[in-house]
Amino acid sequence: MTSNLGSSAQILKIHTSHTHPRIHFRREHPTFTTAESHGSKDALHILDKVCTPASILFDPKFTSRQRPSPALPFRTFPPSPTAIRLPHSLPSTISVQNLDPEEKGEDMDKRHPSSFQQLEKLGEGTYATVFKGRNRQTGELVALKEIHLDSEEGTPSTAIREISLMKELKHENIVSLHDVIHTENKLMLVFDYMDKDLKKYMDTQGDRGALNPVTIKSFMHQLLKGIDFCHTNRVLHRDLKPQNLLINNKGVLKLADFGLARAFGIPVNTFSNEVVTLWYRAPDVLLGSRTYNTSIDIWSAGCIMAEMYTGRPLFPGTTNEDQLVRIFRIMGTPSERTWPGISQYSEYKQNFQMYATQDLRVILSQIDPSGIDLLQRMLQLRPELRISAHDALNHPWFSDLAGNMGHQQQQPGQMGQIPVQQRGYAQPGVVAQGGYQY
Amino acid sequence: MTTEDERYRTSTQYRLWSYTPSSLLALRTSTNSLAADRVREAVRRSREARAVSSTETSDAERGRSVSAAPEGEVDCLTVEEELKLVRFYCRQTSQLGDHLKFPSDVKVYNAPLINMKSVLILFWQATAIQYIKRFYLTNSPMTYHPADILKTALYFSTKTENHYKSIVEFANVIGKTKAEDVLASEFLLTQALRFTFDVRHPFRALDGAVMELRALASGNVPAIPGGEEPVDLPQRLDNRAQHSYSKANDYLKTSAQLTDVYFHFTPSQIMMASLLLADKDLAEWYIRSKFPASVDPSGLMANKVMGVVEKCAEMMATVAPNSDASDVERKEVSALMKKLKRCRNPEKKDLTALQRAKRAGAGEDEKIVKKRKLEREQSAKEGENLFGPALKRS
Repeated sequence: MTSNLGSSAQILKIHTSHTHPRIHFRREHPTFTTAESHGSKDALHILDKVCTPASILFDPKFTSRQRPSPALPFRTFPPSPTAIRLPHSLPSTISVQNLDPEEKGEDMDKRHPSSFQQLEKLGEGTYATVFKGRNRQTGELVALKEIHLDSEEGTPSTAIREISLMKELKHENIVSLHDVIHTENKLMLVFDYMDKDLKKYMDTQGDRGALNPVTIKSFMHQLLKGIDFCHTNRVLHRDLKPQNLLINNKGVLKLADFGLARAFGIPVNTFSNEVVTLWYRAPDVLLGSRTYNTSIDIWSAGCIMAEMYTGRPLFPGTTNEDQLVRIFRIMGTPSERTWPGISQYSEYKQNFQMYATQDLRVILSQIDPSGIDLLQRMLQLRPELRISAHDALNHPWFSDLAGNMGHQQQQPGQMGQIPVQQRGYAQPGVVAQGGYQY
Repeated sequence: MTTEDERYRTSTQYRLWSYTPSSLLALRTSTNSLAADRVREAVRRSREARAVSSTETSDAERGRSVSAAPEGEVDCLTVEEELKLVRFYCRQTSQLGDHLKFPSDVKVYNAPLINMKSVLILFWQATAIQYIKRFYLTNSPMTYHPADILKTALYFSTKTENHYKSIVEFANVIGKTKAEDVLASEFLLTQALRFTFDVRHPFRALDGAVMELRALASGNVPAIPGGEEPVDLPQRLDNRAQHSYSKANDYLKTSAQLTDVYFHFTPSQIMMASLLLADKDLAEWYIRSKFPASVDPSGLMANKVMGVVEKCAEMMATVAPNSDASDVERKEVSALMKKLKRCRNPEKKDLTALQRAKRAGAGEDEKIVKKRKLEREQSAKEGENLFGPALKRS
């Protein structure tokens, strides 16, 4: 049931007239030798005639002490170094920036860091700490991502990239960035509040981590919708994993953490291959590809789908090589024959242990045949054979989604009706990676 | 399926950074007059402060400060003058980018057809220029000197365009610059950019258009998907397509960056305009081939598109596609730089020092907050102790 998915400044105007003969001034006011200069003499002249405590106190008739600068009474005392250098800064040094001019109607108070009540810490990343927060005015819950600006390079590029992409990507299955609050040494991103990530969700709601098929289908559909939106907007997420998929108490799934994401409208061949958490990393990336594309997110989605069924990661590798071996053990070891050009990859080894392709129906018996078919298309070793997010959304597995939400969809009778061997339907005639012998 | 136009309309470049010529002028005019008022205010304050402090300085210094102080009403820059200055610094941005040689530059894989490294550099510079142009919509060169903003924008776009450079190296390569100077106005810049850093360029569109033109030249390719093959192909199409590519690219690299076309037109319109300036007949044929009678029987759509592209081309043609400024422009700019020296906001001259002071100030604020919190906790504790510790239930 989707409904029970989760618990959830002056007064004295000084007119300068430096044409005034200075010598004349000196004769008149012999005690003010150090104080004289252009501009100030008139002021002092006036001051001298006004009866103030200072005019009596510093009257040359009574004291040899010099009269202090007339400016002092108008300054704060003692002047703070900040006040001197910043005569007209705001009362607070916090500058707040509204994001969209369209939102001008909203209360500007919302933009102040203190307008959010900081609640418990939700998580800590390499460059940011995420807190749960509450808008003091509306009571609305938010996620506050605090980015520390102590970096020598200024604002971290990960944060800049994330903000940049999040400002462009507005979609129901992508966590939305409401605000950016920038103070002198802190940058705070205000996101939707989501109850938990998929990992936690599986741990708490699942049966030993495994979720029910209806929930999985709903989540997969939402995940693919989010991915499709990214891809049509030419953005690669590059780091999809259960921890980056957030779930709210209404069963809505949203993609989060675009720190590693990047737009691929620009040349795609300088990508670092140090992306994507190992377990969800596509084989082409593991092999050292730097020309990867949208298909890397699809591989991750496939791994996540399997994990939702079993409660355990599909390929829990420990090193780059171990990760590849774990993949090959199930998906079969590819060769130049099944994957032309594979030997050109930097991480390709001639002596990879040869494994035959396993039948996913056997390994993942929990998945219905149509689901297996979709999974099979997502977990293609060769990136060009992997199904696109757009095509995946049109896969028959989702045909019963809209109308039958909330109903159990176990149909064991249909087992084996869809030919599982029709892999890589994008290119018929290409040898599938299974079924070859040496 | 959403169309490319629909997607573009969701972009921040369209939503936040697209203007009608009149609204753009209105914005620049108000920015300029606001900045001019502030300059006059600041100059008045600094004259007062100087008058005061000079009472404390020695006779020797006095003479100097008298002659250094500009008197009378400040002669501020006009909107047009600001635009000319900003344009000049935009040229500088691209030239500086060209001359920066980084020892640590990673080897970039070269695709067979396109030199990827030069493409990366192109995006990096073009984005920096657009940041500067966007920055000066709401800020005046009288307040923040373009020479300072230039460095910050160029560095900032290394981050957004994945052309990462170490700050220390960057500052060293630029020369006479410290890392601190580059970063001093980063916050200012991000704020002025309204945290939207994604700039949509027309370069890739040109790559695509030329590829398509060459494909059309080879024949057997429909002008629109599912449509018929175009008739009356222009002569030497392949040759002309290749030739116009470099010409159009020059327009995109210079004229498109230095004029306001990004504020008024979409990347594809800008691309088509560059093609139009390179080879008018070719571009017109190309555009019209996309609207065959079956799609646009009256020819109204084709005419509308042509109209917009021509307007864009007209605007772009106002700046010649040369990376170097003309002698006339140089003379004009050097006079403007002298004028700017006399009308700069004295309170915003040293951005590095301003930033340092701000940071120190923010640190103090935090200390105060912590102190208050401690005091609150202390008084809460004392409050408890006043009546003795809490009673234990036995």
